[in-house]
Amino acid sequence: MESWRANLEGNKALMTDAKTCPRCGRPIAADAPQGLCPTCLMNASLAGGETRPPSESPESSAPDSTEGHPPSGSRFTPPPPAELAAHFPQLEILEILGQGGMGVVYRARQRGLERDVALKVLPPEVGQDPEFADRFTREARALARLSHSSIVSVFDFGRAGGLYYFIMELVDGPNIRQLLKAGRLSAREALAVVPQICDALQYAHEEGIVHRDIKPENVLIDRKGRVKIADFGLAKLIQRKETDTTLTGPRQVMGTLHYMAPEQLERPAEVDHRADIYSLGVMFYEMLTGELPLGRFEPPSHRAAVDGRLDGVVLKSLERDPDRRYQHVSEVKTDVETVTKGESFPSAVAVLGEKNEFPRRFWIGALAIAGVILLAGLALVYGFLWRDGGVDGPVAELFEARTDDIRREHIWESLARKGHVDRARDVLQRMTRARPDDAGVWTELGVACIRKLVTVKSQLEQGDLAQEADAAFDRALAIDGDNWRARFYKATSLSFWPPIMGRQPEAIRMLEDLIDRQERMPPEPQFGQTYFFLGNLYSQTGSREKAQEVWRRGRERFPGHRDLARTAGEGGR
Amino acid sequence: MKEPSASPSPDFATTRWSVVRAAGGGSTQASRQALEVLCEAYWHPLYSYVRRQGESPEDAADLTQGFFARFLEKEHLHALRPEQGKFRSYLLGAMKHFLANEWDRKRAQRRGGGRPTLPLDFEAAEGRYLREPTHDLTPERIYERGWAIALLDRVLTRLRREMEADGMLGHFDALKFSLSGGGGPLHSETAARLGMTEAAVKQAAHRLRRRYRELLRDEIAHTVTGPDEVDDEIRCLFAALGG
Repeated sequence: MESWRANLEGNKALMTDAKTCPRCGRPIAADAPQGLCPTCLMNASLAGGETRPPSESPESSAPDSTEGHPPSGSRFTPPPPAELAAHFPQLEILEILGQGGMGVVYRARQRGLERDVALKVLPPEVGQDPEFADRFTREARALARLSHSSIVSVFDFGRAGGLYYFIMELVDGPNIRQLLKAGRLSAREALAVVPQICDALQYAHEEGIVHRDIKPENVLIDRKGRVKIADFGLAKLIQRKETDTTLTGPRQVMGTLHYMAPEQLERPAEVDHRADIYSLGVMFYEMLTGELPLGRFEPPSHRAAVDGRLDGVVLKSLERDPDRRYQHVSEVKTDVETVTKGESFPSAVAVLGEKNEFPRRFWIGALAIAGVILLAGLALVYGFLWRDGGVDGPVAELFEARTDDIRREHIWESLARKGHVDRARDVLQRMTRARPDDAGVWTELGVACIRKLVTVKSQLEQGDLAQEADAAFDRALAIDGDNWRARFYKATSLSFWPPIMGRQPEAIRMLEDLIDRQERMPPEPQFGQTYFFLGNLYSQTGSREKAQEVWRRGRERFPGHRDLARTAGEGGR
Repeated sequence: MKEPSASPSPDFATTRWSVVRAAGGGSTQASRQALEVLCEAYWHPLYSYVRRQGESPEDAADLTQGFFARFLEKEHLHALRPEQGKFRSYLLGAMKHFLANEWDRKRAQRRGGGRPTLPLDFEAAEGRYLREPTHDLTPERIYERGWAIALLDRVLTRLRREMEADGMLGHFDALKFSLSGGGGPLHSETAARLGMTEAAVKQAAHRLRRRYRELLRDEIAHTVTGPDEVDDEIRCLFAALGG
């Protein structure tokens, strides 16, 4: 672990073989000709060779630095990946993942290990405190000792290019905040998450480390559905004072306040591990009800369809006096599990029945009219749904009234993770027979086919799936011409999959039409994807100027869209 | 070491891309040969481009091989238009066109099935692709950058072989750093090692740089259509490298 010892700024001796060019300072890549810096080689060939020629099109080095105002109230403008690369020769810096009061996080790849990691760079202001360096090393060492499957591991830390950094485990998944924004977490999911958080916190507390900043942004869920808690101890390390609005914007401080235990605000010196329990309580409440427990708040079961026995757990966690709170996180877990044991979750039949627009009479009528075959078919459907615990819930959720597109995508992702896409597709196929005039069902069937298509190797099968998806979307659009989701998926599937490559002109027309419609609607974040796809299509078919233009429009309207932001670097040549 | 030639710029009538284009609709032995040499020199960046489009190594190899099989067929020279400019751009355009239209061809046909194929070492290309520092580059950027690297590689290899033929390989290895502006052993060190005076080392470095520049411009000339394009191409490649 000590081999990385790096004060990279002052000390050029590195553990890797990575070289930098003595003339221009760029790292010399592994494919450099004869081990020489290609840029300088090219430069040397110009007439005179001494002065640098002006580049054809000025590269925008960082989208942020050209803007007038730094994002989200923070004064820290994150260095673009290319700039950071020079300080981390052992990493390949890929993209910015996010930014908060605690610094900027990048996705990076460790050369040699070929492992994706998260590189977190702290704001430069922290270095102004002369004692910070000592605190940093002490805290970082303690954090690196934490080894738990629900805690984001710290692989490395140090200082480079004047910035303090951590190299951490990369968690490929959303944080709870994102899940909350997409549509309330179901009670079942909240109850699955909390015990894992308790485990992690209990472990950390036993190691003598208090998180101090438990909140939905710091709890991530990876692809396997496992909880990962990030940013342990950073709050103490950076020691932001709650009234200090210079390090972070006022909005960010306010956000964290809601999760802070009263003693953290009133008597910070007396804070111990029980502060984490309070924060957990706030989060628990928010996950169950969608709201924060502010002022005189009602128990969770009064605000949402939640087991009343959980009220006691949440309220005890939220006790203002630490002595009246749970004394150990493990106790929270025990109580939660007592409640969840023996809970049976509602069958899909019941759920579907509730959300179903068709009255009960319809089903009885259908049975009576259709006779034996339909009876057998329905029995199959219900029997199938009843038996298959893993699919019925999510598929039903796809049609829940409040579910939006992002939430639907999450559901599909979780189905894919568990290998349930095929079964979901089966269920949906049968649903289309039961509800042939429901555009939503046809749309999701199409999505299921696309989801399956991604995993299939045989071009023949891909072609079949693409056709099925196409037909399903067409059907959905015939029923409901305004179904944006069907329209988008149909258009993008045309552009994306090799078996239907030859239909590019059609795809282009569809996407142009889709953008037209979208621009007449209030903007949704997922619309940005349409611009990106259309630009790619233009580019593939040789219409370079059109590609630039549509990407530019997309970036204008959706500045946060990652794929679109990347298209900015490609200068015309 | 060869003395710098009297006329600094090559005779453009005989550069490879000019020969290819001069053949126009038909093709001559000379034009076919020239095109083959060009393709063999610069196929790596094309492979990287296809890989970056998301293809697996096997599929990328198939597509690249298939592309060249078609590209070297006679009828494709018909597609050449006078304003097509540089070979680098033309090649990428042709590949994009190929990918857009030929995708649904069966794999078996792509593998050649009787058509002439180029001897392309895809394993090496894949290894090279994996070593490229991609940093979020688009496929086009990867191609341009790969092209620039391939070009420099060819030039340096040529230079090295020239020196080797003159029995001066040691000189090349010691002095090559002067081509990119520094970082190698000190002149005094080199002088001691090679049994020369420091002044002689300096002069040798200077001549090496001049010869390198000549060879680079020569190499580029083979891929453009006129002398004024050479500087422009250098600037483009410079930018492609992130300059």
